[in-house]
Amino acid sequence: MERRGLNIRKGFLKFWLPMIRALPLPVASRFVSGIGRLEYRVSHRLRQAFQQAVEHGREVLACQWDVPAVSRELAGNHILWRTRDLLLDGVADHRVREMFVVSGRHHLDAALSRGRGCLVLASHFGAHLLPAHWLFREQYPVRFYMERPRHISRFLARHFDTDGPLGQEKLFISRQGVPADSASSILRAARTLKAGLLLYLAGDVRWTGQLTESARFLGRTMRFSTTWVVLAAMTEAPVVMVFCRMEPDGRYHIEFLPPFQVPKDAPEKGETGRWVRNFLAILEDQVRRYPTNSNDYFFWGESEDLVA
Amino acid sequence: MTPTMTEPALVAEVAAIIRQSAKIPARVPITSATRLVEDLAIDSLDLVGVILQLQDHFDVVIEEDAVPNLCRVADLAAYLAARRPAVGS
Repeated sequence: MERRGLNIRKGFLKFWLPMIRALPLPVASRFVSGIGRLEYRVSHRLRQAFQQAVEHGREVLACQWDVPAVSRELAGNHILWRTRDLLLDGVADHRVREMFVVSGRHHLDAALSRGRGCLVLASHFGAHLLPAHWLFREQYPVRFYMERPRHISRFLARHFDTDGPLGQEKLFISRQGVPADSASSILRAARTLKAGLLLYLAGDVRWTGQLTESARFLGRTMRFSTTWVVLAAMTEAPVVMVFCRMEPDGRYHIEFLPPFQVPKDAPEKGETGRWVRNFLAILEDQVRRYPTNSNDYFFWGESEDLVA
Repeated sequence: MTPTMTEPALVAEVAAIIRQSAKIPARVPITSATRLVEDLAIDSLDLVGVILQLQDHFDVVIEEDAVPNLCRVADLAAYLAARRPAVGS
């Protein structure tokens, strides 16, 4: 998806967000997504791009979406998505809690109670960083296992400031790593899980080289990282999938799914691809049901910009 | 890390674990100077497996920060020699 005007919008939001946050947060959230819906109405080029992408998605998933309606809402959610958790920056806990509707929390707690840590398997669907924000607000012990996210709240950035062998900084991933760096990274992540922490990572990361498997997603064959499967097998930590939708009322709906276990011998048996494909099938179902939260998925292949 | 005077038996033990863990064929020589990635084409997952097996076998924790510097069999052997529990302890 083209990034023309992105910097203008970023500057606009950076200036106005402190005032927007003073509104009731669901209203503030609809205001921000309203910027995207307005852009959609005003720009023929943008309308065309979204409608073509949504139409393609509709065909691939064999759905009955109202393409103009979905496209308009998707355009709005694009802006909210890219704002990440900035809308909640500096906001008191009680106000932030009102923004979240959470289902399946008991699945997460049950997984954690097994004492092996837990892989919280997110994606780039919906408000993809908001579950992490919520987890920190609820004081779960969380570490990110992904590329360092940019343009995030100071609240989240402060939680990256952790030292020691389980510190956050060393858990951020670089795409430039060599095998020894990757091995070191995986060992560190395993140690984090064994210490009983939550490891927050995405299951839909397109990657190249080692520790990848080929899979079909939204009609395209791509290579996806299998690191989460390897970690889950190695450490026998439970995996809990999480999805966070941007709802029409401006709130965020976080959904934790029941935990599952990847067998220890899954990599040895050549089954990592099957687990990746299982996850992607569930993710595709989310997109089918909630296409206005599909973010960049329908535009994948047009741009190499991969959002952390 | 430069090769040290690590006992040959230790080097052989490390080499055997590498061969078994990363499934290196018997015809491929593994010496103290052998590089794990460049010479044995060990990928990151196999390297994780090697490290974990070495940790278990020698009862030594190999720090994650040290892994990128443990490029050769001799490096691994020297690291383990410096940290393994003394015989009888």
